[in-house]
Amino acid sequence: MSATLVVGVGTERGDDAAGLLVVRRLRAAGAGAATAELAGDLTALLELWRPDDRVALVDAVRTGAAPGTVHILDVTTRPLPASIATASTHAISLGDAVELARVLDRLPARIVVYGIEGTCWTDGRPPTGAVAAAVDRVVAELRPG
Amino acid sequence: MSHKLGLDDHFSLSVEALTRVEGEGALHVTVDGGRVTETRLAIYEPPRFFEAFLRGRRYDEPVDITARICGICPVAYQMSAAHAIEDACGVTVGGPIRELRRLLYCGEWIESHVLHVALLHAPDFLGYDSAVHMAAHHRDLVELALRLKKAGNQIVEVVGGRPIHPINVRLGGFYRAPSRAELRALAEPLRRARDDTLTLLAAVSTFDIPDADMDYEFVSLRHPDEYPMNEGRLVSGAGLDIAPAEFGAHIAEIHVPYSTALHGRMIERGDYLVGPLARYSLNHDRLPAAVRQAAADAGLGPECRNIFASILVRCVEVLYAFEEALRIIAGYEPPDRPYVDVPARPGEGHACTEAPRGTLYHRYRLDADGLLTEIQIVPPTAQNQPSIEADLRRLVQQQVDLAGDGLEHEALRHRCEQLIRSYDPCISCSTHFLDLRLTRR
Repeated sequence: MSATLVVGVGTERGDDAAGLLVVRRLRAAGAGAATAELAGDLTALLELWRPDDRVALVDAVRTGAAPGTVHILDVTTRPLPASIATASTHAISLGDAVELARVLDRLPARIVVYGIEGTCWTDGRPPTGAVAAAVDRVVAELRPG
Repeated sequence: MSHKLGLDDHFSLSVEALTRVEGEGALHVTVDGGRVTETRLAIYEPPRFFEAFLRGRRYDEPVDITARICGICPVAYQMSAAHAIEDACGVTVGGPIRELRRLLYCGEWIESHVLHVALLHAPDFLGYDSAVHMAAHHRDLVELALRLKKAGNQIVEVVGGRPIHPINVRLGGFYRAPSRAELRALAEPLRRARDDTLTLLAAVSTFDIPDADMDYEFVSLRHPDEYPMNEGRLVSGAGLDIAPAEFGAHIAEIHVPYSTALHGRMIERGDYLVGPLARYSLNHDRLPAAVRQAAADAGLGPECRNIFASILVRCVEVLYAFEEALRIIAGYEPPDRPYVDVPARPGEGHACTEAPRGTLYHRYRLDADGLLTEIQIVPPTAQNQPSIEADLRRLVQQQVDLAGDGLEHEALRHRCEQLIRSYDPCISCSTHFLDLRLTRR
């Protein structure tokens, strides 16, 4: 996807950092897209994007799939599946924030969720090997050119 | 499928994780022969990790590192860490830097309280499963809340460097102080937001709030001149009146086997309550007259003991935060330097500040090299856990007593969740998966 805004969602708790790592890697590589890191209150997403943005949201998820699986879901016209929407780790989940934007007619032009399947959610631990490899794949997917 | 719980059943109610709560928690309730015998709120709480992780680190690091404990209230952790370490080093920060810290806290109170009031708590009163379902029918309320949150974000961005997880805070003050023009630019949007808050308060005052006055021992900071945020003595309605340095002599942290969080208990008396209800009830006379009047118009007296009415008190505190932010901005003169020097010295420092959810205590011990040797962090949710469990016990008993021909399992789960949400517990790293299990014997 050719994104104009990449948002990494997560915390520094093991695999929950996956989204943050993708954003930091893209920023370090000088990717053309705007980037942002979010934790906690995901309603802030509604203030981050503009109507004509193509947004990539990267978050760690827990669905039972193999660790490191990357779920790519275009949510521009349909909600996140319940199995993914309920796996996020925030007061207003990623799925709820997207649906709130939809109800309020505040979705951007395109919005794709990259959900990276994680297994370790411990404070201060680095991401597991499977998630680190998945981060590489998502960075490659989102890096322009 | 709905379950009916008979009066004589022995059953346990397990809510494996709590929705619309900032954190990860599980609730276990046991009823035996029609009597509630146990309520256990098991939560995962990160400060334990941070206390260990900080040992041996430099004394200027906790301000940034502890901000990562909570995605909703990083400013509270920054403020308690900065004040406690400055206390250890014998430094007091005053003047415009003190005012900027207060302004930053106003921004966080607004962000956190509005999120909870309108998007997490209001659906309980209006009969919706979530903010998304509520937004379809109460669009004006949600749009209003998002505007208010944006105003709070603007404060945190200008003072803290970015709207979420501020990076401009350091020991002794800030890396950079905003110019007068930068703060003045906030005044007009904040005035509009203050007026919008009156609309929010009026809307919330029409909610059907259950009667549930309880005999809590309220605990909060109290300051001689102002509604408390960063400074003051820790007081209670039962006569506690101590400096933050005496916290450990009066409040013990108790380990319970089912939770990684330590429970706070008053050594002399047991359970107590921190948070908006306590802050408001112990400091009503410190609110400006206009805010007191708005509270009265919304049906609040000078004291509020009903945890379900905390939604109203949060609105009042949002109104106060806008008033206080406007006062600070109107009188702001930038400091000559954005921070004062805080040279390390061996010793111990303490601080209590008022996080949106209640009193947050930090204690640090430094060695002669400025390295941290002891760290203690007591967040508000840990202090409130015994009160939450006691309230749950009473609620479930009341529901069991009223059950008649049987209590609906799902309805009981919902009432318990609603009660827990009234506390706005911050347990950090929440999951959104609810599993209700019923065991009959």
